[in-house]
Amino acid sequence: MTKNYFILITLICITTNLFGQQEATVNLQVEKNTLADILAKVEQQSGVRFYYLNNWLPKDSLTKNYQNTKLTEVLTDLFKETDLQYFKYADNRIYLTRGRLIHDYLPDGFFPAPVDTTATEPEYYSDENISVVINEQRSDIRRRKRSIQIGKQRSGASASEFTLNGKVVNAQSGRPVSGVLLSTGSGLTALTDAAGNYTFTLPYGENTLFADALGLERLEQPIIVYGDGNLEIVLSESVEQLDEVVVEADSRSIIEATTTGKNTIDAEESKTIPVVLGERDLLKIATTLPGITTSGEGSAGFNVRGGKTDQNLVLLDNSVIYNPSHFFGIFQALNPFTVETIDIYKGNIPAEYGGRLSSVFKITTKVPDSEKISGEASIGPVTGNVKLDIPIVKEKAGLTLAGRGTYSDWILGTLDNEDLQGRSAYFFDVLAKYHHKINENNTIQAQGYYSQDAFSITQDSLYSYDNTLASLQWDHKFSEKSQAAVSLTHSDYFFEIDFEGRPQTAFNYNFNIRETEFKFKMDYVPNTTHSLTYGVSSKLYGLEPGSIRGLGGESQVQSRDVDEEQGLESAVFIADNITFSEKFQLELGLRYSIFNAIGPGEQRIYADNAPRNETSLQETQEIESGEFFETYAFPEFRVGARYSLNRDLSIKASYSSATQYIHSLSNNTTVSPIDTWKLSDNNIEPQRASIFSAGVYKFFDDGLYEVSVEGFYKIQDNILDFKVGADIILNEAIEQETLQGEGKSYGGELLIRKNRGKLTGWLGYTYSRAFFKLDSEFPEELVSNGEFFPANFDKPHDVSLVANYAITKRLSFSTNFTYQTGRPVTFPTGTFFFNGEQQVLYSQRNSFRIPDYYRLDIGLNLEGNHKKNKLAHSFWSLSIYNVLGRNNPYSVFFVTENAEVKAFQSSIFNIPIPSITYNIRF
Amino acid sequence: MKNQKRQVVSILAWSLLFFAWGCVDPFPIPTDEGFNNVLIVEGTLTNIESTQEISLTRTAPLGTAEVVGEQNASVTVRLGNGNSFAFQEVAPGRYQSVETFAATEGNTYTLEVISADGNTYTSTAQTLPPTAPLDEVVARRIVNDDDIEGVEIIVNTTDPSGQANFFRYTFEETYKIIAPQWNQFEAFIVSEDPPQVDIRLRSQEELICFGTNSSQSGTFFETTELSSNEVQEFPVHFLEKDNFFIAHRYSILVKQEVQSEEAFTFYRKLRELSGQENVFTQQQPGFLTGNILVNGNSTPEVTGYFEVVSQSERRIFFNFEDFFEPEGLPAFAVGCGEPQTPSLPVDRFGNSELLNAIRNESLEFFNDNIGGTGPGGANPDPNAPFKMVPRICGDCTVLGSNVTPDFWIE
Repeated sequence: MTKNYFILITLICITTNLFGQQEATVNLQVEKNTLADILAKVEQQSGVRFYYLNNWLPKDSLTKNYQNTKLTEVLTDLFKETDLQYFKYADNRIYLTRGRLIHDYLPDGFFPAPVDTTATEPEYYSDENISVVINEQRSDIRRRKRSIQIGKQRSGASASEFTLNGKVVNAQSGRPVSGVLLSTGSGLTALTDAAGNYTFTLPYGENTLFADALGLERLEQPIIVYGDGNLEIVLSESVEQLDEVVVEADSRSIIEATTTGKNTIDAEESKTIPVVLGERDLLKIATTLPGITTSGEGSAGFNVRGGKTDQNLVLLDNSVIYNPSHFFGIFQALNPFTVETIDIYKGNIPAEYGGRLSSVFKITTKVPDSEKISGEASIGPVTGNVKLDIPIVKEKAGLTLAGRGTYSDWILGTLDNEDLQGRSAYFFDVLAKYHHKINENNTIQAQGYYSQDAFSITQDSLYSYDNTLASLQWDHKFSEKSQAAVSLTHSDYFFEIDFEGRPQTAFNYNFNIRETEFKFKMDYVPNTTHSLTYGVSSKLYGLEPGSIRGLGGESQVQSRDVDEEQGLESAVFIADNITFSEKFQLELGLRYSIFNAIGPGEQRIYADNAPRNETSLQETQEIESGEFFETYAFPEFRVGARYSLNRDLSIKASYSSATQYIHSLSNNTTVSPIDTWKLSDNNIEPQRASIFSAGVYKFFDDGLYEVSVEGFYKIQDNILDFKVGADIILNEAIEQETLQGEGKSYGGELLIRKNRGKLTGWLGYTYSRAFFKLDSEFPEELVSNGEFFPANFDKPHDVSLVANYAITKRLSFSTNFTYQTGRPVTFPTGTFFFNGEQQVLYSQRNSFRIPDYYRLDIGLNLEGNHKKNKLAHSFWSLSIYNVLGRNNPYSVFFVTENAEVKAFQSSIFNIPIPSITYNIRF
Repeated sequence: MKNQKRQVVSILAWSLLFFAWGCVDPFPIPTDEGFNNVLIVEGTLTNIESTQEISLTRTAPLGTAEVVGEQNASVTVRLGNGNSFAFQEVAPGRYQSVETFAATEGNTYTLEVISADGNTYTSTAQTLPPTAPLDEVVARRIVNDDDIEGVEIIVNTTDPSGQANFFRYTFEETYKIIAPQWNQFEAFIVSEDPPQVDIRLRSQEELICFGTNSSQSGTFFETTELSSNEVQEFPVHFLEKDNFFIAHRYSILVKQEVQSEEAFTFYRKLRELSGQENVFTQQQPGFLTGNILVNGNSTPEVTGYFEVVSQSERRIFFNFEDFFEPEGLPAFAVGCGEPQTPSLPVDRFGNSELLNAIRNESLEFFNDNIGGTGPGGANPDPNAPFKMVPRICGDCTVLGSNVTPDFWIE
């Protein structure tokens, strides 16, 4: 035999022929014996000897019956339920190994070309014939991974180290995966760049290659290195998370990446977190991370590191989604089955994103399955969700159709409650995504999304809103080193209120904002040191700030329209991720943004040195259509650095500045459904912010525990706020009610994660403060005497615990605890008479706090059995939201009734809410 | 709690909860820690030669309605030209100018208050806003939005200068009262023991009186949002058809004050902040800083407004019949039913019903109680000689003044 097979067995290389012709047979009938007993009996009968450790063997009792069965078949049968592999050596020795198959052959066709054994130079497999694709990385076959030979074995190799090049791609999307950590058991590491390429220097001989990436299944691949080579690694998405790992195990990105303040939420991993009313809510999970808070249930907005709720860029794929929630924020507007991951940037925002000061929530939807029809569905107490993947062109193009809706309108109809008569409440959202991999170098995808909500706030009003998104993206690869993405996106947000009190006062009020963005982005990796991202983007806004119409013939409501606004926000950006060494990495980003306020419209000019009001209004200029009447331009810097002290410990620091040209008009603390938006103009300047952040990131026990501590200091300028008693709705001259001031916030964030084992989860604690200052020389523009006052969302202490305990492989228990300091509010403090009437005296802005917020949720998750070839996988989740029944105030408000001021607090879920949801995947 | 119960039912039925009508619970306002003792300054100088008035009060804790006057303060209005007017306290917290004066154009006015505890509060300098004559006050019959028929008082003003944009309207209404059960005679006590009564001609006018009522607060109007500087058909008052004020003849004096924008905004926001919460109006609550500063700084120790306004006024009269059929005349302020016949003789405790009623003026003479059981039949009943009615029905001075106002025109 001329072929030699190399097998790895506990560092011994052997060359031999295994399992000869004359194989022993076994006759055995045992009842309720342990595996150890059975093996002993097999030893007696067949004369073989097993080598193993006792504690490897399961203690279960087995009943077996073998009649003249070949030894190999007996062993296969005995070990099929275990993680044991066996290897027969010589005639009578059988080595058991755990989880590692000892091979005596290589796959057919492994060597694609005839091997020239006469070569004297180290040989390479050229690009055409080398790519060894490791595919089908399913968890259940991971253990039986076959070794892959890299380079050609030659006697007398001239070097002891060789270079392995290649690319890591996502099995589902076919897209390259950046930031994949490649490592060997001996501690060598390499990282893929933005284009998914890697270069890994490995020692001669056998190595075990591990590939780790967030949201992807870990790959463990034995390889044998004989020379330089090329290896394409295909990683599967973690579709079967048997262990319900909440946070991706061994994800090293927190240590390795240059970015501070980045979190990623994996949709699949989040499915065991207790939910409210059976709805998985990824955005709500985001608020359990340090530095991100909401005002409680029923508020859609986020406050990220002392930023206002309008300072978050929420992107669904590429499109901005203005209201990513249903029902006042109780549910998210994202179908959880369609979401792959949410990346949250709350510190150093990549230069390609801009236009918001505080954060980017980048929601990535799943790529449609192009191989077979598959889907997921769930039924909960309030909603039903479904997602269907339909292949259009086998292995090239697929279509996802997803829908979600509530049957609450129907439920309302069945409830026999007078208060609920004539009420309406429903929402739905639909998503369609088409993904087509035309060839190796070109991929296009198109996506459409629509969500709608409608419900009665009072018996005689109907409030509704909708988000409409559309996007088109073309990815083109020029070479391994450079690729481009061109996208066109459109987003439209609209709300209206139909109020039908009395016929004379019936009205319809509505608001609309539209934006269309073109973006061109290049990724260029000239070498292993630099990784460049650059491009341009331009976004056109169209805004109808509000209009009111009488409803019905009898209505006496005067029709009014606030003038339409238009603006163009453009940017050029470039970022370079520079790897100076394994230890030191620097990310330099620059974004230059320009905003043009465009006519038609009116430009109001006020006298200097006077408060802005009708008296100081000097002139109103008519702006012609298309005229650029105001332009702002600012450079924005995004700089980050990472230094690894050792493999498990790194420190990072970053500075990020941003400009925001669009402002939400909301003087409530929470994102209210009738918040409108306003573009910057000659009177309202862009908001600006700078954030400094630094952190220490440490892995313990090889990534079992992960601890990160980050601190930040943020200063904001031209923050839009309101005069006391400001009137916002349908105000033509909104600048007379607004104030622009300074903001400052600072804080420290601690996150401890446990990534593996039966108990997984995280504990986050944030101490942070947020203040605003509205100073002026005019009394009517002063707030809190022109001193810093706590922002509406200033909540110094914030604790979140998310934990999951796997009782068995199929059953897990999860819990979620949140504590937040009560947010500041303005209270009435006294009464007085003025103008002949009793008046209410309010405190200075935000000088009181509502009671602290805390909530405990628990959940129980049961998966169907894990048989591989089952038609469908099912998943039950049972959860109780607010187990403690805490009456957490959502808002407080005051009503003057019969000259008496009464205070009320409204809460949303003040009793435990149980729910059960059934999920199915097929 | 009803709200909570409703929730529980919903949830048990469907695990369903709707929050828009979620749970609203009252909660106590932390009055003890929250109460700020703040000085409230309210002062309006007018361009009409008169005794000008400044009011100084203190805030009271929530839930109370008392007016706490700030006493023993030294109040002065200083002019830009160096003159000043002193004020004196006429009632707790009410300060009036010692001499009459009128605010004039071209001057600046600053209020200075030195409180009894020694703090000095000064207003920002105020000037007289442009004057605008009140063109017209009109009364008209309408059915209002609540489907109530009545008389609406509206004003029309055009400002030729175009400078007056912010108006405050107050009014003073005067109405004729006719006592429905009046008699020209009144009862009087001749002798206590034995009880004896008689009647005589009333010594004063008690049939026709005049009631006066002032608007509690101003109503506000701004013309900035309209294309022309006109106040057109702005309603300042509404009287329901069955209001006894308009039963006979009615007069209203409407005062129009032109305010500065800052003062107007302060008044408007104050009213809005104290008003009812509405889903569709979003108000940013907070401490409303007026134009009163302490040593040049605004502090949470004082708020309020000192303003100078230009005032003009106009009076109109109308009768009920000008708008409505006489049959629909509004009822009197109180129901005046059948007269009573209190007994004259003393009971075993020594009290005479009739004597008591005359002595404490609770009942008025209406007529002789003729047709009683006494001899002669046509003579008053000796045991209850008079038909008496409640005083309010027989004597108009209970509700108004019997002096005809100077301005009154029949």
